[in-house]
Amino acid sequence: MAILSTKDLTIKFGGLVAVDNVSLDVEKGKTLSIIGPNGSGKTTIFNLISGIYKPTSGSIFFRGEPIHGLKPYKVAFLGIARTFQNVRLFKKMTVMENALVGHHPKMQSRFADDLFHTPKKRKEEKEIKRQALELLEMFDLKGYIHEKADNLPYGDQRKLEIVRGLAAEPEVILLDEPAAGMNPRETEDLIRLIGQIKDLGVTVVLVEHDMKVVMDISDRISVLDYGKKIAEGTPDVIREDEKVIEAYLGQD
Amino acid sequence: MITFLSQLINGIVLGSVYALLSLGLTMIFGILGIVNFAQGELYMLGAYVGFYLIAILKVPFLLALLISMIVMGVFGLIVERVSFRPLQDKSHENMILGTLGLSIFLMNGAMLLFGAEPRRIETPYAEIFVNLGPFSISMQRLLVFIVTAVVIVLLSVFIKKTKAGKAMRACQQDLTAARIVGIDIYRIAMLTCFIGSAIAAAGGVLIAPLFLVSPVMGLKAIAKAFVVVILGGLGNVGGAILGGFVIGIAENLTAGFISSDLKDLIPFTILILILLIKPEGLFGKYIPEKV
Amino acid sequence: MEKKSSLRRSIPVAVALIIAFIIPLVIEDEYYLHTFIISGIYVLLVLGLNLILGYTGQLSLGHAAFYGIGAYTSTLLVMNLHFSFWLALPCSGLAAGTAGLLLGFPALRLKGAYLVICTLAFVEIVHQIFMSWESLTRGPMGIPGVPSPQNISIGNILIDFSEKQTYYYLVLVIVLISLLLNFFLIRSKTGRAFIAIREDQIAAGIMGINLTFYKLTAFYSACFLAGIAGSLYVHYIGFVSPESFTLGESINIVVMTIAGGMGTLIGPLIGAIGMTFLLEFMRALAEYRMLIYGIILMVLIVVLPEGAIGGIDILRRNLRKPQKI
Repeated sequence: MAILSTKDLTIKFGGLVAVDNVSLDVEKGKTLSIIGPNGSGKTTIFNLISGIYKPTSGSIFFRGEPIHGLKPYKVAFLGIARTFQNVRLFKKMTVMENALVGHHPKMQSRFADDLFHTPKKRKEEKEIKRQALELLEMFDLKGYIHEKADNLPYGDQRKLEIVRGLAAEPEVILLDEPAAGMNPRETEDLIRLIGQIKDLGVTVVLVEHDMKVVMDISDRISVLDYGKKIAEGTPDVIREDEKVIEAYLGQD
Repeated sequence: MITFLSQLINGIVLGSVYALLSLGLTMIFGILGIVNFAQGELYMLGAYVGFYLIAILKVPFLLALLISMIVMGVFGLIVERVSFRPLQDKSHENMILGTLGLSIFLMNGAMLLFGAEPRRIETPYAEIFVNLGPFSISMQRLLVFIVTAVVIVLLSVFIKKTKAGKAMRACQQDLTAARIVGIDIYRIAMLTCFIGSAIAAAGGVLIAPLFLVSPVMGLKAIAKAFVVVILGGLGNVGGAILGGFVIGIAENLTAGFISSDLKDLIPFTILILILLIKPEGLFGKYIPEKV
Repeated sequence: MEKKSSLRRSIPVAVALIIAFIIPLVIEDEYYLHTFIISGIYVLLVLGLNLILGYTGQLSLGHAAFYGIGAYTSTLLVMNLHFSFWLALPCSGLAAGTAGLLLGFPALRLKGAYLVICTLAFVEIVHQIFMSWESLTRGPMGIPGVPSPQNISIGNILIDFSEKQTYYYLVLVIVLISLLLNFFLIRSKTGRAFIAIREDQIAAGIMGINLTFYKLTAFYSACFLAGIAGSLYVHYIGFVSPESFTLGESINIVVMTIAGGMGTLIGPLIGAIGMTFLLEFMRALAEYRMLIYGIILMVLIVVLPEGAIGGIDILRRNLRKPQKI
């Protein structure tokens, strides 16, 4: 059964139908890529899944339960993480603090614990810091921990955003154009990084323009154009699909 | 019945001033995207200019009104250049704090220059009464309404028929698109501030003979202006005018029939209710945030 | 960039603490003591607003209303219901905090200018209520004769709260407790949630932060502090009236919060103490003080949105470059 799926998902902004009856699904542990020309609704789908937008009609299911219309924090608690196209880190916080925020859904401390610095809070903070360090080390960001997030080089900022997303041990992570603005060597690093994420058992859903990345890591690809799904299948199938080629696979 | 009508008339008079004050506020927001907390001070300074012209230089009322509008219009240009332009790329909160700072500065500057005591303006119109059916109204009050109506009509004509007016409307709809078609948005910003300040000044001069002129009159008025602007929708010119009258009348009817203590409570309660139910105002449109 | 070791950071704190405790023993001039007491009360107000504005990034112009609610609640509890000050103090905090929830719940859903305007309307409404509900508040005449906290005798020692020196210590202790709790709060899950909301609300939501809950928590805490400040104020001055709790006063508190530097712990201290003293000394300059005040605010927003702390930060950044270890 699919761990995450949408059924006839639609959203309209005034007269514009940004996402038009799109049905997708991804199985646990597999990688789904969503591709399509600019403006085809890819990021909007992510926004719908993560709860930033409410669909006009249609549904979204996670582990069999409907999640459409839920507030973003609830979606996060259920186990779906996400990164943004134009990296939305907490700029004035340090790398370490950004990673710690990622652990938010896992933490049990309550307001009173935090305010009065109870042993429960102290213990949890220690544990969380240890986990965050581990994660940062795994992704080679340990050297920056006290650096402010917006001081990092671009590629590392993207990595940090992913680390932040993984901190809560999600089941699914939505990556929105992680390869944007990267040179070939950084792209290689990214492919390896996504491999590491897969090794952690996290299901990856990717929105991406970079065909090398997409073809390399995807188990299945869905293609959107003008808000509609126009093709779906394995990378080999998509490579040959006429509609897709027509829509935009001109370069690679 | 007589009380009702007379309170209604008073409400229309007050509403006129609110409309003038709010028009500038809403226009500046609609075109520059700035919530101008200092609008009340422009109104107040207009009243002071009027005071000096009328009480000290003995300039006739209507001429003083005109001069004050022009003077404050020019002042508005300075404000735009010095305050508004640097604020445009700041976050919402910072932008509001910036205009708040301007407001504090202008209010206290006025206290310094003019002294904190309230001043009176006397005009011959206060003595002339006009008969409207069963009761009479002073010419001064009638003038407030007449001048406001004239200003509104002129403004509407300007916005609808002239090239500059159309450019202003374009900027309000979509700044980027306006730029693309070649509209000089800086010029339009300046024009908007000129008009917004001039109209606010008119409000100040008109109301001055009816109440007193003091440096804090702006602070009191701006709160009401915000109610009007939220009621009518931020950026909505028609809404500001209609809202101004609605609030003015509501306030006076409350004062007349319920209690004059509570008259201030009503507009603010209306505001909170609107913000809870329909923050875009009665006429505003809901614009979802793009992520 | 290495974090300063705990020892290095504690030394200035220890020194400051010692100085704070010694002040009334060294300074005999009642005028200075008075100014310190008033600045202490403002520290509580600014600490609270700092939570709302500096940490969650919401601008509230309504803070004076909660200050006032605390003040009147304390007055009425002590004078009409014969509560002891020590009970009235936390009750004032609770009352103000609850009022904060009442405003916060609807208001915090609004964005940007709408939120600000809503809080503005609220402070006007509360002010009007103080003025009009004469049977409760005596309206514009105010309530005189508010008693200072009852004297406490421990053995042979009499602690007399009508004396400025004693009151100074009372305020100091409360300020220190508040600072400590604030310190704990910031370095915690809740504190990080606050900052995340300020930095990027949408990303914060995606991270699992319940925006409404945390904004309300910050709001409640801030209003609670304001209520405590109100109680302390009123039992010191001995008089309560609506004119202390206006939009102008809210703006005052906002300026102090920004001037000191938002989003830090020292910021509120600098802002509250600094500005209270500055304004007092400028009484000599009388009219100019408010003018300068307005200029400070404008300049701060355009040049140094992070206030005094921001200025220091900019200096520090220019003196060293970021390095990867």
